[in-house]
Amino acid sequence: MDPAEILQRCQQGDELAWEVLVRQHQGRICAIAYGYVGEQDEALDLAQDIFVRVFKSLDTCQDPASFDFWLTRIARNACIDHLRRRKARPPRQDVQADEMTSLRDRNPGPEEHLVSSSRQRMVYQAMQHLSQINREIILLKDIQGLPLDEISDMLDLPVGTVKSRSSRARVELAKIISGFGGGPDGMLGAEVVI
Amino acid sequence: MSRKRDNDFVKGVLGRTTGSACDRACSLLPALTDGTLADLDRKLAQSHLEHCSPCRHTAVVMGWMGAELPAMAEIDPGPSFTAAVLERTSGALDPITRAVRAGHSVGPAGLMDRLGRWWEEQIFKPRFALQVAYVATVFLVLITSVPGSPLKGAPSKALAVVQAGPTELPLLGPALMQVDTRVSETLDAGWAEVDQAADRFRQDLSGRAARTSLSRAAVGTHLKAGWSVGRAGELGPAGYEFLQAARATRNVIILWWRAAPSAPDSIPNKG
Repeated sequence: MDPAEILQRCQQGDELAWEVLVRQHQGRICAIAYGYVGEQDEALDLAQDIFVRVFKSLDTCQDPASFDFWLTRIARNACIDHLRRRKARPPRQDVQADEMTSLRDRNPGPEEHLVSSSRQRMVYQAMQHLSQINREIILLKDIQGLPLDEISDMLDLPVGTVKSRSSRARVELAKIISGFGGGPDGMLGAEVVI
Repeated sequence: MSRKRDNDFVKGVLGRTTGSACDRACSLLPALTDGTLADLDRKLAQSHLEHCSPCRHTAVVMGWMGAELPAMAEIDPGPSFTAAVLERTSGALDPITRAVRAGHSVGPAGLMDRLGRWWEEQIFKPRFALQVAYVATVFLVLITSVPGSPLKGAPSKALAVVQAGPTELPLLGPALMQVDTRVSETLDAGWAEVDQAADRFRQDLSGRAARTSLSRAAVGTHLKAGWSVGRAGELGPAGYEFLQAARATRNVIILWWRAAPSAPDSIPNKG
């Protein structure tokens, strides 16, 4: 199916086309949201919010060729807004004393986790230790594979700055992962790919 | 020398000279893992990695990150995610936006919009003009021939009026005649004014020519006399004659523009 035709049908209000579009892009949007917030349930809720925002703004996407860039920009803006709101109003952590006894481990097991690979979970965990700009560059360039000029446009940074920051961010991420102690897959025993 | 002692020795020397080489090695790691590093730099970096365990660990991580990160571009959110999004977006739009996306306008604007679209569709049909003419003819015949209709007999009355001309019209005829008379009177008066103005202009022009005739003749006479005595070499009389010609020219100008020609050539000769 031609993406331009699907987009046009979505703009005309075709529910089936909208469902196809959601299925086509939900994996990428969830990955972006998870990369920004680093928490599973929060990322899924945020991804839904992103799709609602996309749905309401479909009329503003005039060029089907740049739909992916347009979608990523909306997702990024929504994630930034979410993080700002979270920073302004952090979720309440208070738990009543009598409820403590009924608490169980809320961390999902590997079979329930969005990311089944332990290495990928470790990367996502390490990304939360990066600065926001470095995390964004890792997410957009190395994970999503966006070209430098689009990242430059999205982050409002010169291309050269994005390039140099990307190298530093990769090294910083690798050092954080290395500092985690190797990981469950015997990472440190792997071959050096050079 | 053992490997540990060797490393300690190098570390000591670097500490007293350039400092640790780890920062420099780490700055080369992205290019090293991408395979874009120059040959000498690659050898230098590999040499450092052989002896530096932390940098080697970082290089190992960067090596598998290069393959792992692109695989993280998508996450499967589970089967319920799509349904949840569709449920949330089903009522996300207000009725107006939904109607506009479906290609319909709403309210009075929507009615006019639909009417305009219907008209645009119809006028491009080849037989539409013929159909409209047929329907209009039938309609006119019916309303002018049905007994009791207020327009019954209207065509014959209209034909009689046209044949009789505009003066026979009950109200419009006298009005048209009055307008025609007024227009002709106005035109005649206008032409008379123009003729009178032309006569006045001609009289004024001849009057000016008459009252300056003597001065103009004097100008010619003095110029001729000045020229002749000047050629004879008598410069004093010649100058006098040219001066008289200039005075006569001044009189011509004054008399030409004087309003009341009561006394032609009455300008006193101050010379």
